[in-house]
Amino acid sequence: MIYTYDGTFDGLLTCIHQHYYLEHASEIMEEIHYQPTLFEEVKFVETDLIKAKRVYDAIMKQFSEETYWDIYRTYLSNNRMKDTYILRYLIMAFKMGQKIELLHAHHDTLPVRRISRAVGFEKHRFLGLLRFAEIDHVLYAAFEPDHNILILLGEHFADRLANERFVIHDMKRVHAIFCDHWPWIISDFKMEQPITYSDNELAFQALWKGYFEAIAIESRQNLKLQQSFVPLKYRKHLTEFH
Amino acid sequence: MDTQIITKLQTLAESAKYDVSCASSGVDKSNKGGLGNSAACGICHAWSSDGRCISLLKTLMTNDCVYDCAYCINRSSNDIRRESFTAEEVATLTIEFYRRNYIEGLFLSSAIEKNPNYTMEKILKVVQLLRHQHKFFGYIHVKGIPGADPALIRQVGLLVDRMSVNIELPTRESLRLLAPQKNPEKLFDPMRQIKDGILQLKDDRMHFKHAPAFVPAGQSTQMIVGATDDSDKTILETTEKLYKAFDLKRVYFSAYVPVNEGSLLPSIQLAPPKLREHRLYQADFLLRFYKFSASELLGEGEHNFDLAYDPKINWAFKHIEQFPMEINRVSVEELLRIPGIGTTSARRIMRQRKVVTIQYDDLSKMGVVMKRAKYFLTCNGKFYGDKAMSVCGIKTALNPPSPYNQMSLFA
Ligand code: SF4
Repeated sequence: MIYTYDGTFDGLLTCIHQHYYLEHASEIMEEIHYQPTLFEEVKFVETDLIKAKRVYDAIMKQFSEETYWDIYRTYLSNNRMKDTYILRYLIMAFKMGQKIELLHAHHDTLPVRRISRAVGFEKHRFLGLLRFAEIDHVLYAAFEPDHNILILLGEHFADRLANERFVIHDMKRVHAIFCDHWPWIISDFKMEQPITYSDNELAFQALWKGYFEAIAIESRQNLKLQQSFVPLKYRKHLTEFH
Repeated sequence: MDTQIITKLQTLAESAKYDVSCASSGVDKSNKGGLGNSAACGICHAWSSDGRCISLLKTLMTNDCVYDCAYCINRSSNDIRRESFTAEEVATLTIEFYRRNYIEGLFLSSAIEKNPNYTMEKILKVVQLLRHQHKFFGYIHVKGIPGADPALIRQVGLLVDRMSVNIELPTRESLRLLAPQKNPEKLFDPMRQIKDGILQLKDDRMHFKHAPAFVPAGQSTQMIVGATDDSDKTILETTEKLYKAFDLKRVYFSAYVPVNEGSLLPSIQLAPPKLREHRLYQADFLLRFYKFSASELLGEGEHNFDLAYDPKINWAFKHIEQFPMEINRVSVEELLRIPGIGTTSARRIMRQRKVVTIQYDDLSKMGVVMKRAKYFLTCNGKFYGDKAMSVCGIKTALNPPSPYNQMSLFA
């Protein structure tokens, strides 16, 4: 039986619940990614917050927070198999108990560990690679990450820019973090018009670009290395590459 | 900001760029009602075209130097453009760059303008503006100027995260030759003062919980590689001593980029010895995280690292009789000595060993670089290196290795 769900984390946890209390799942996937096959039955699982909470509590009770984060980060990834990997990981985990955390190379644990790491890595990257511009006293940053990491960025920037108003905009998934001092929220968001920058803002962008060029040592030039740290796909939103 | 400022910034960043210590890591502190925080893991914000990470606004206060160190682009006898920032300018640049998430903080160094005290006072002014007026909680690293009044150094130390003094050259003789106006004894004074300040703080903290922090991210230093004929052994031994004597957090190496002509210096045509610098960094990692000592890495009669093989595999070649090691039995210290096993994979192996025996196929999944490691280990008693255990055999099999890959220090 294939379970599909609405794409929310609670929806995914509800599927896990159904796997144990209704019928075993062979795969789980987001509804929008499902393509009908002849051979397997499919069922859309309605998100149920109470069932989701049960699964969440079971995870938190039996495993360390790191395991929870591995699962959550995997859920945020753009890997199409992610939900099924999480299912397999949890089946194994509930069987083995806390020992699962010591197991790295097993075929039911490795995909989740790897994907979680990749998502964590992209998040860490964007802590540095986000670029804000000041527009009418609001700091605005646009980006297009591979994984759905927006929610992982809120805490860091809300602390860092505690006295500022700011927006972090995932243009791919058309949603954004809004923060006017603590707390921050995520909401759907689309830019209606192109941005125009003030002279003051442009001056600082120019200073940054000037600095960026001056700091490089010509005799050590290594564009390949630079590209491995800043892949071309990210450069669209990086002031220093404009 | 006037339009001149961009020229100033470019000139002074240009002069600061050979200083390699750029990391912002080492402190974890959150915002307490102002602007900024610091993450212990360190955040890189950009990578310049030489592939180096930009984490801090790295600039000089001024490049107008009264000293004349032979290896330095800013020496007084060079005919270059001289610029000086005001404290306000540096503070504003830092804040505005920081708000836009271009940087993690400031790394402020300086040439000696007029005299050491004058220079240190200007640095103090910047730090005071940032911390007091702008309520800036981001990362600040400044240079302690040798010869400045200890009281000034102390005031700065109370406000910054890291302070460093570059020794630049590993021996007194080299210093005398190339930096005749610097007094080698005085050079270590601020280092000693910073170390004592940090120790004093630890002591104070036992009595009063809120004793003010003093250089919480510790101190670091930098040595130039290749400006003199000092050997790797000399440099590495000095490094080891510095870690021990002054409790340094990091020693950085900077492949000398010939900027000046001079009979005492390498020719200006020479490329910077990057591979040598790389080997020194690898060795430094082995000192700090793998419990190697300098004398193990370069023993009697060895002066420089083999450029064809990294220091760890070289050590293994010299001690081939200790290999192969059984992956399911040896201690973590021994695991760390196996080429191809790094700190992360060693930790994974130790953890998984508690639950199940490790199979050969697991190793690469755990991040072990099998291409190298297979010659140095057994897994459940079986040896997988297709060659007999001999240094020559392994060397040929590795087939003088990919000369150098900056990305991975070693896996
Ligand atoms: S004191 Fe510093 S800036 Fe001045 S010449 Fe010597 S190394 Fe260069």
